[in-house]
Amino acid sequence: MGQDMKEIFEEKLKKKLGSSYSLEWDTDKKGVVFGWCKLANAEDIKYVAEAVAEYKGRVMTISPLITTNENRTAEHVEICYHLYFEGVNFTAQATLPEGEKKVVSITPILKSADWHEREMQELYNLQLAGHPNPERLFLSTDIPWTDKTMIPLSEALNGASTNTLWEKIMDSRSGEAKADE
Amino acid sequence: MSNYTIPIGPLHVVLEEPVYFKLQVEGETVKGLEIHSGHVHRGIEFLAMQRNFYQNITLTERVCSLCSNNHPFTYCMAVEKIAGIQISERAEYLRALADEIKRIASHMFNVGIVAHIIGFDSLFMHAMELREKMQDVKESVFGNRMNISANCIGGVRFDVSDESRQYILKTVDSLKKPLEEVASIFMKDASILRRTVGIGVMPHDKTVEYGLVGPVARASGVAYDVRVQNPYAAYDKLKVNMVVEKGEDVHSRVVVRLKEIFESIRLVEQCLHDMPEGPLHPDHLPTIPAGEAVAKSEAPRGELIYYARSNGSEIPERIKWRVPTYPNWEALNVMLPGSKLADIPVIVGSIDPCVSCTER
Repeated sequence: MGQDMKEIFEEKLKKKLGSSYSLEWDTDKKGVVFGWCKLANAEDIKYVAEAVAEYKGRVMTISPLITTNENRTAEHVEICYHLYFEGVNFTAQATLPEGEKKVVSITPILKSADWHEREMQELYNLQLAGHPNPERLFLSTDIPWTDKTMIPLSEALNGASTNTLWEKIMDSRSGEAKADE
Repeated sequence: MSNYTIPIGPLHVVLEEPVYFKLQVEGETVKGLEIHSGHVHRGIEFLAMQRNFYQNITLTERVCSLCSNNHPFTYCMAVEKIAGIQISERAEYLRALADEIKRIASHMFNVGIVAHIIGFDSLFMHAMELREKMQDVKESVFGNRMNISANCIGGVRFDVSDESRQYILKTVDSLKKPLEEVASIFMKDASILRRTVGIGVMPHDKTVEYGLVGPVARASGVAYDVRVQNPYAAYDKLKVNMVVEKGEDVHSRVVVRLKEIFESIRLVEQCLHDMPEGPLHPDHLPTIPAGEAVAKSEAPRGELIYYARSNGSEIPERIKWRVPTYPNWEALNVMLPGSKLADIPVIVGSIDPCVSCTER
């Protein structure tokens, strides 16, 4: 089924996106089909989501990451949407322009994107346009969002809090030994 | 009738791990809920991008305990795809064997927990006593009861001797009869049926819409099992009989897991029977080139997906994973409204949730 779906889905994408994307397929030794699609515009993800929704497909996960350009002079947020429909695993990749923080939500089209988008929002400080419930998912409201919020909470739970505690105790006993001595 | 908002969690006697439910109730009936997570978010994805590809095998095994084998297993498959590594056929069978042994123990744990939540503690202890045999198998074969360290990039770190093979076969065979008794109680006992049939209903269409996976989805008639649709390791050679039920309720979820235990026992036997001779792993540490890959496996709770990207350095550019519990949490927004307050623990238990997995 996966093999036939490749051509049908590619046709569907062409109708929606024209030629503004690149697409490669690979099939592993077990016959499992993987599609890798690079979108020219990040907003085009909603057309891909619509095509997947026509097959009652779903979002498996969303992988945001921070990449640099070829000269390593600018950072961009790249978002990989991992989708599944009719036995096909399809990754659509979109790169946001430098400094761009707004991303179109596909939750109204694919409900299964809900938590993934909310997690992406708070861990990468992105704004979701059109998300029906853009509430915090993991982070407590007393943790401010930053561009790399993946870090603060792990720091807080990675022994940093213990240091902070001891530093406070040591500071309160001025003149006594420091925590790192 | 009075309306209340009842907080359950983040720490509560009915919860095994910290999660916070804010329930809107009218009398004894749940009208709506909010789920607040994040209490055990450890930033493991961030940590994975500070360590090299080999160190991450150890790290990913510690995301969760019940499905600990599936994390390094799937991670290794993703990295092997990037590096173009084809593992030996024996290693494929051994990976499937480890997977099924863990699945039996994990499903038996959930079956026992559901009995415990209902208040049927003698059945809980019976199920846990049987599960203990699988824990013994893990300790004997892998040297540990939970984190079995079975995988490495390019193969596996363990082998099964003739003596171990006989021991595993004898142990799984000894489970069959008592398991049939446990299954029979779950199918016939009036007190269990009263607490599980028609409780926590998740309709088929909503299951598809919410993208649920694993036994929760299969109990609502969604015929999806990664081992069947997207085979990996030795599952293209093993015949996996997918278990699908149509009851859509707590009882169906337990039945799916019970039947899958029998299927896993059969798969363990098939693995041990069909496994060819061959190398276990390469005799060097392969270099991981630039590239990206997606790998999936069927963890005890359902589809687990790993995405890995390398820029050619020793440290991965991105490792992202999504555990099966992650999409299944949202099913509670459908299952709980309309149910009685007293049924909340058994409904939550029936999705076999893992908070540590979800939050990473």
